[in-house]
Amino acid sequence: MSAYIVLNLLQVTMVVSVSPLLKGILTRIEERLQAKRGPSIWQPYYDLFKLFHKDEVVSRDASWIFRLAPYVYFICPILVTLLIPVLTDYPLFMAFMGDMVAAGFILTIGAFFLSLAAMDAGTAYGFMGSSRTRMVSTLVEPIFIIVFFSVSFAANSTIPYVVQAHWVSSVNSFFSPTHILIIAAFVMIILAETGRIPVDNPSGHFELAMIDESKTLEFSGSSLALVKWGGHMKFMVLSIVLLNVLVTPWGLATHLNPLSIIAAIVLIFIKLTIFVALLALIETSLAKLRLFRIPEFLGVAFVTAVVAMIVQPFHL
Amino acid sequence: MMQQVLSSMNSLVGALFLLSAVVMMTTRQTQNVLRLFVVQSVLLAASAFILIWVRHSAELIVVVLITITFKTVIIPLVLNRSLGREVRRRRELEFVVNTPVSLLIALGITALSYFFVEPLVGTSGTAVSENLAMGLDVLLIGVYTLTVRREAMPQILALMMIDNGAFYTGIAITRASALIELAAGLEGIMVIVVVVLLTRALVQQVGTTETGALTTLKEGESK
Repeated sequence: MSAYIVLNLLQVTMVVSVSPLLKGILTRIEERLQAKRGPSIWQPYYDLFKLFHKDEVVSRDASWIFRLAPYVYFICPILVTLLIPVLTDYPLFMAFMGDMVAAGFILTIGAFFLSLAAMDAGTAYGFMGSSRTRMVSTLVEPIFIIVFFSVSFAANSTIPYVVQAHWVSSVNSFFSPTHILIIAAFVMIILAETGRIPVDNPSGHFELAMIDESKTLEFSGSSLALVKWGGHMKFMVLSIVLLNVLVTPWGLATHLNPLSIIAAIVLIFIKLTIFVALLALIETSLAKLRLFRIPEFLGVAFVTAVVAMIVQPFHL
Repeated sequence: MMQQVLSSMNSLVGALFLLSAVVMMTTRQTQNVLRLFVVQSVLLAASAFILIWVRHSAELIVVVLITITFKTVIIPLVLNRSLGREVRRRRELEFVVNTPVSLLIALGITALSYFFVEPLVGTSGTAVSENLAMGLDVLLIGVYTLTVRREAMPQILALMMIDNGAFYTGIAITRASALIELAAGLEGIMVIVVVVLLTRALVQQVGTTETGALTTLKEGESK
């Protein structure tokens, strides 16, 4: 029993500590692809360290939500980490507390609080960012639900561990058209939810075009650090769900011995690095869409997810 | 084991083939439509390559060769050479129907094609039944794309998408001889040559390839 709790804590520690590195690697690869030198891969850690040592300025009009939101945003991905297979393929302590839908909702709570906080300070950009993020999330939500429907249709469950075991169990169902289309839709959702390029430019600070970034404009000091860190973790958690549950469900630790756990840690690092490199490639080869073209992009994702569901009964 | 791997690969290619059709329907830049068409044709060739072993028919190698040479090399080359300026133009393409509605219609088409194919082959999950529905779906999406596009270039490519869908279905369900495949493949290239010539004439006459804008007669305009 205690071993399970230790493993769970290890999972959480890994996500908390590695997520800024993942972001650093992504930025570095992207800059390299664009023939620039780019910052060091440890830059997100330096940024967080710097921000934690700075004073915080809070608007006089801000309410308690503004103070609370960064903590909620920081904790939500940690809670999701307890539900998903990060290192082991056997369910850990909290695995049956919630399924993939619950994970989606927990992430949404964090984003919801951040949107509220952005409006709380009363600046125009905060409102703009919040309304735009809500627009994107409103469109992403049905796709999430349809993807979960398709997954549960195929795997008879939405508990991430069970789904993962289902794809591992047979090559035939792994390569079913449903699965491929679910993966495609999920990648598009990740791009939209974490503010990556066809939807939003994560490195752009142009007020009229930015979506995700404008919510954090009012935060400073340790609050900003928490929000940034929470964003890194959200990205990592979604990538792990994609990789460990959908794309490459192999190579998780099957036993409790330390050796297989270490192997699993190394393997998830490799998987994440490859995924991030592919993502950088996608991002550099696409242009950011105009705001009113985003519904079209997400429309394609929606159709992909629904087609996955239609196709399912024909591949048994 | 071998058959299982083959049918897995077949499903993978089929899913990507379907996805390419949907994305091709909604893309707003001519050059991207052309690139997607090349990708789709490569997927078609891959499907034919897999079916060589699934159906034990070596003639299908002809389909692979035709598709690779014509659809991924010659047709893009012809289009680039004769209408290069139109291909590289960065203007956003217009649709008759807006994209969300088109996407819903594409969903309806997908549901319909599976609905119609199901009584024919049943839900046996074999390569044949899967490919039949997917090919039909791509074909119908191609027809729909052809009707909602308002530019000559993407319309040509939508025409070729119909061809791809038909080929995809055809190689899965028939035991055609190589000669028929050859004829069908060559017909496609003939159609392209004719349409490209027409389009060039169109550009010379009216200076645009926007077929959607051609609503009045020229003589009526001059009066």
